[in-house]
Amino acid sequence: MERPRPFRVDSTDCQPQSPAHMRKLLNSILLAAAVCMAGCNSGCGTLDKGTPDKPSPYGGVTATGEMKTPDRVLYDADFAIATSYSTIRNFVKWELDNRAALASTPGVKKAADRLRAGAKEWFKSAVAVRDAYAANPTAENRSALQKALDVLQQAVLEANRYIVAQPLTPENP
Amino acid sequence: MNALLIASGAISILKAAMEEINAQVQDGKIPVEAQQAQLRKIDAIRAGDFSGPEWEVVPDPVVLPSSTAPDPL
Repeated sequence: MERPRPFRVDSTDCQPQSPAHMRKLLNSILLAAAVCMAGCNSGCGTLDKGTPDKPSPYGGVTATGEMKTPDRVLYDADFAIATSYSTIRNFVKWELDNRAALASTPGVKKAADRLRAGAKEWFKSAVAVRDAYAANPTAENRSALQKALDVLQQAVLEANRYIVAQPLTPENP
Repeated sequence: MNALLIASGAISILKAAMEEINAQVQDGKIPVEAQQAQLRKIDAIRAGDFSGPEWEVVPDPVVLPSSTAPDPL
């Protein structure tokens, strides 16, 4: 049987190692990713306001020429949308590239197909409410944005759950 | 072994996400260039690039039970 090829294995810490090491690594990465998806990505740095001739796209300049404070909520939402897209796309591409090797674990394809079926609509909706919030940052629009991001977060978590479940089952220690 | 290789794929997926985070922060600040780059990603998603083969749902082949499978001869 053809073995699945991990994509982007360009670093030694991505090479398969002992199950215990893998478990620790997976847990720590999943925890970090979950925290980031929950909104911590913002806690990792402040948004530069820029200069009057090159202002932050999340802030801008007032009519009187003062620099606006960048909208952290909008930046975080964009970050979550962009990261979710790349994560989900990488997952479905990885599943496609390794479909023959993954035939013995049909749950992976089922999860990937669910994401394929829903992704376009989920992202379309997320970007639409993102644009609505950007144009009119009310509490109501912020709440709608959070709900759309929750949908994306669930999609990312589903991908992670299926792909990570395989090495953590007792049958595959 | 397959399981470990599959897991390494998962790690790569998550590692790419973490790299995106680290790449954006410089000296505790997210520069304007990184903010602009993020907006371009949203524009690309808004444009809706879901046309690649990785997005295509291919139905699973129907497997007939052996007792009802047609005789190949």
